[in-house]
Amino acid sequence: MQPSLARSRAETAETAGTAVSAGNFPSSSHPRWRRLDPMPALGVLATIGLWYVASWLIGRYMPPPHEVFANAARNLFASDHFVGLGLPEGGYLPHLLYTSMTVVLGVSIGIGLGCLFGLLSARWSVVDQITEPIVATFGTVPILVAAPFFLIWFGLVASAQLILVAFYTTVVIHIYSLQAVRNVHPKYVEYARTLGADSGTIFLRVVLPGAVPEIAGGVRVAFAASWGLAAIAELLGSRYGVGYAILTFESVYDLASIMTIILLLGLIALIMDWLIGRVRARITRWAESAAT
Amino acid sequence: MRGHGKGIVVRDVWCVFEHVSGRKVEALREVSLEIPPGQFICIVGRSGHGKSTFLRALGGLNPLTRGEVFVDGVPVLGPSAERGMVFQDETVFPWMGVRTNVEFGLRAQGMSAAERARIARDWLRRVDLLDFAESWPRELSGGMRRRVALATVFAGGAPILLMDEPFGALDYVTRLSLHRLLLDLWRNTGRTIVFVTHDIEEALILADRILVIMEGRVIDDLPVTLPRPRDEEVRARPEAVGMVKTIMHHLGLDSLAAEGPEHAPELLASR
Repeated sequence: MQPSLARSRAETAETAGTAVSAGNFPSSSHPRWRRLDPMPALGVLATIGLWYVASWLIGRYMPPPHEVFANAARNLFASDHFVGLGLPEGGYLPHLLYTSMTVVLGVSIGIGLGCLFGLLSARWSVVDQITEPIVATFGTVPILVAAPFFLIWFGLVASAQLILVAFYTTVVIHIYSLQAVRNVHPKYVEYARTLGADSGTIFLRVVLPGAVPEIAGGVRVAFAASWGLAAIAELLGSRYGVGYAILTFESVYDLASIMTIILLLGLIALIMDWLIGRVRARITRWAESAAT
Repeated sequence: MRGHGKGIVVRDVWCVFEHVSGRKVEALREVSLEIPPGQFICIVGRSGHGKSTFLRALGGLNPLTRGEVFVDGVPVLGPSAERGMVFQDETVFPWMGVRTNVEFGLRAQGMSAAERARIARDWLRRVDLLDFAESWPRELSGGMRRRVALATVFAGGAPILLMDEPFGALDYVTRLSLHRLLLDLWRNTGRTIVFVTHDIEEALILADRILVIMEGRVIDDLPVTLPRPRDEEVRARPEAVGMVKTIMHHLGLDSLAAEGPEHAPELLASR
């Protein structure tokens, strides 16, 4: 779950490579459908096939795909069944919305704080020296181990999950942004200085833009991990969200609903990841080799 | 300030670096020379012998262990807009469009947007990139990116331009056309240019004067009096050939060319 330096280096190498290599014009434009790769579709079909096999082997503890899809269609926006279990009106929707809000809000707060601390650390080594041990500790301890403490400390204000996600993202983005700034080639800074730029200008117009692609990579990592983090933190104690719904379904052995809500959350995560990819491509279009 | 070169005086400059191992490396040793305003000077030498260190010392990018560098009598204490630098790579900011790149120095100096745009346009026209003003650097070829870099440093108005093998990674034909462009810009602006290269032919095409640096010392200082343009005919003249031979000799490369084949096995064995 933790970002490795190797990954961030690879990211930089990738963007730097596209930036420097000459004549990276996008190839002649084919119609979109022609570029569609049949392989992912094959993967989805294979997964569903394996799922059927597993369902047939395991029996009633592994509901088959069609049961899960039917469940999703039936209970997405309204469900008497869920109301009967003591859950709020509105089917799956309020749980998914609650967890999504936790993730989006938590990650957003974390991006802000992470960038702030990371960039301050990059600028002033004093800040780096102070924050290093904190980041080193929380960057290596799996964050879920700390989750119970967050629930105990902040559980009463119903925002423990939010704080957990924000905290985790802060640590991730701190690491990524600090590394990103350090990976900006020092020649760019020297070049800017010989053009008469002061250190403020260099930071805003050279270091920061140069670091953006790698920071965007960190945002993607933080988002990807935060869906599971929020849901599991809700499992440990919450009265809202996907985790809470799962606990409720578990108490009545409603396995189809558990699988359905997990799949729906995964779908939202996928859509968010795609959106972030689009935004990232837009911001770093100077580095991207071809339109995606 | 714009339009005229400034003179450089280098007095007994030493640059000593300490390796992590504690070993000291004397990258520059007792370098003293004067560069008059408007001169085009090339520095040749083998790699790792102090060419780039010397250029960075002029740029104020390296601390000097001893000695001083003066520009128009004022000691150099750090980098400034008065001494523009062009590197081999990283010559443009990839996250800025071409025009924004060219405007960077002007903007850093606090010039108004309209004035910036006017000057950038002028320089983009001079390097024949007006049609690419709104392109990203990645959309340009290597040679075009070097032209953006030239436009940027010339537009920045620095009276002294320091170039560290700026055309090193380019193909032969592109290099020749950039030589012509650079000489044009130099002639029309009168800037002082210090140009580091490992290519003796490039030095012969460009320079008023060639410095040979070996093991951190300036071991020769050759005025180039050949007429310009220095096309192949001019470069084939006896004085040009003699100069190439002299430089080859300084660089320890003469044995192959001058001495007979009977020396070749000896040379290979000594390596």
